[in-house]
Amino acid sequence: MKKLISIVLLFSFISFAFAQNATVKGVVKFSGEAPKPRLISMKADRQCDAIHGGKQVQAEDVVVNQNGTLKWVFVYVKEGVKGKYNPPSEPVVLDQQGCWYHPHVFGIMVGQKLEVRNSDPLLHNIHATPKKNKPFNIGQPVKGMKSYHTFDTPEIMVPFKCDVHPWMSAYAGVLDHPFYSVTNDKGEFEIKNLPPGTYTIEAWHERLGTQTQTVTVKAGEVKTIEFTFERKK
Amino acid sequence: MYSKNLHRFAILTAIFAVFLIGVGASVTSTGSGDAVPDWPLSYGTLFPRMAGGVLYEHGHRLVAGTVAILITILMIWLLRSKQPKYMKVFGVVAFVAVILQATLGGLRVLVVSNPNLQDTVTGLFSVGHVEPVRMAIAITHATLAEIVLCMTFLIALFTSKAWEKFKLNEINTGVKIAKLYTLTFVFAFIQILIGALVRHTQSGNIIPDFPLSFGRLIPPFGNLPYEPNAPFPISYAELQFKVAIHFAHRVWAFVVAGFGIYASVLAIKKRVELLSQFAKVWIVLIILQILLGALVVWTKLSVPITILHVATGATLFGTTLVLAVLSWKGVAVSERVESELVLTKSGG
Repeated sequence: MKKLISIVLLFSFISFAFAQNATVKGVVKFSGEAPKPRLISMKADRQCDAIHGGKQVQAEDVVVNQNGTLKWVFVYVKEGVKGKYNPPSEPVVLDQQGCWYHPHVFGIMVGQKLEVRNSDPLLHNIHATPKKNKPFNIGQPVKGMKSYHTFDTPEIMVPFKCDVHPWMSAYAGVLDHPFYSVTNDKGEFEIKNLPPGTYTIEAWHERLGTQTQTVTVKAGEVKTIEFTFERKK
Repeated sequence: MYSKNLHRFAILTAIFAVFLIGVGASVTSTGSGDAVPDWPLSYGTLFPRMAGGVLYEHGHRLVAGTVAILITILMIWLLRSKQPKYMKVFGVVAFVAVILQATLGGLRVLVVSNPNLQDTVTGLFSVGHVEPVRMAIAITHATLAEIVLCMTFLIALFTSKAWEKFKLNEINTGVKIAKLYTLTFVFAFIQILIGALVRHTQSGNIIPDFPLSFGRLIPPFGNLPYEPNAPFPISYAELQFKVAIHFAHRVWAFVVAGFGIYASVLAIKKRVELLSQFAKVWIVLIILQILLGALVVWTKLSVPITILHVATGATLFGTTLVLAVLSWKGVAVSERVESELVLTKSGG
C-alpha cells in the first residue's frame, strides 16, 4: 500500500511540475512571392533516377507551404536555458531513402545517438561537416547498413551531405537541452516543457538565415509567437 | 642522346599530367573529394560503382594511378638509357614527387573519414579542428601536382630533338629574357599557390563581378556586403580575408601576364626557333587563362570553365618553366661561345 501511495505521489508531483512548465508555439511565415520549387534531376545516378521513375524531385531548401508558411525551419531556445538536461536514450534516425535524407532538418541533443541508416539498394556516404564538432565521413555501400555517431558540443547547424549524390543534404541542430522544434507542412512549431523564464528564441532556415525573438513565459503559460522570413534578393 | 620513342613517351606522360590536373579540378569543383571515404581502395574494392561523385573521385584515382605508372616507366627507361645523369635525376625526382602526391591525396581523404588519424593530426599540429589541416593537405596536394607536371614537361623537353638542336646551335638569347622568364616562373608559382588557396577556402565567387570588384577598382574592405544573419555566418575578418585572397589572385594574374608578355615579346624578336615558338604559345595561353578567369566569375564557378581554368594554368606554368630553361640555355651557350672566342683571340 505504501508503495502504491509513493508511486501516486511521484506521478502527481511530475504531472504538477510539467503543468507548471510553459509552451512556446507558433508559425513561421513566408512573405512575398513564393519561389518556384527547384527541381532536382537524379540522372547522375541511374539507380536513384529509377527509384523516382525518372521524375525530377522537388528540392527542400525553400519549401513554402500552401498556407504561405515555411517548412524545415529549426526553432530553438538560443539563450536563457538554465540547468543540465540529459539526452534521451532513444536515437535520432537519419534515413537515406530514395537518394534523399529523411528528415531534412532535425534536432539532436549533445550525447544523444544519431543512427544513420541506408535504406537504399545502392551506396551512399554520410559526410558531416560541423565547425565545432568533429567532422566525419562514413561509407555505407550496402542496403540496411546502420552507423552511429554522437556530438560533443552544441552547434547550430551541422550540415550533412552525400558526396556521391550532391543533391542530398540535411541539417542537424545540436543542443545541450531539449527545447527545439522543426516546422511542419503547416509551418507550425512547438517547444514544450519550458521552465518559466525569459528566453531568446531563434528560427534558422538554411537559405533565409536566422531571426530571433525574446519571450517571457510564466508557469503553465502557452505563448504564441510568429516569425516571418522574406525572400532574399 | 636522342630517342624518338622515349621522347614520345615523355610527351604522353606530360599530356596525362595535364589531364590529371584537370580531373583533380573536376573533383574539387563538383565537391566530390569525399565521395569515397576509404583509401587506397574505394568502398573496399578496386572498382566501385561509378555513379555520381564516385565517378569523379574514383576517376581521379584511376587517372592518378595511370600517371604514376607512366612516370615509373619513364624513370626506369631514363635510368636504363644513355641519357645524361641530370635526366636520370629528373626521372627519380618525378617518381618520388608522384608517390608523395598519391600519399597526400590519400591523407586528404582519410584525415576526415578516419577518426584516429583525425585525432593524431589535430594533436600533432595542436589545432582544435581538423579543417585547417585538411585544407593545408589539399593545397599542398594541388601545388605538388604542378611540380610533378613541371618535371614531366622538362623531361619531354630534354628528350626532344629540338633540345639537341637548340644545344648545338650557337644561340645568344641574352640574360635579360632568362631573368624575366625566371621571375615569371616564380610569380606564376605564387599565383598557383594563391589560386589553390582561393579554391580550397571557397573564395572563388566571393567577389561577384569582374573586371571591377564590388563595382570598384579596389574592393571596399571596410564596407563589404556582410550578412550577420546568414544561415552559416562567417566573421567579418574571414570575409575580408576571402576577398583579399581573391583580389590578390586577380591582381597577381596581371603581374604574371605583364612580365611574361614582355619576356615573350623579346623572345619572339630574337627569332630563335624553339624559344620563339614557345613564347607565342605562352602569349596565347595567358590570354586564354585571363579570359577563363573572367568566365569563372561571370558563370558563377561553372564546373567545365573552372576545370579549364585550372588545367590551362598548369599548362601555362609548365610552359613558363620550359621557356626559362630554354632562355638560360641560350645564355649559357652564348657565354660559352664568347669565352671560346676570347680564348681563341688570346691564344692566336
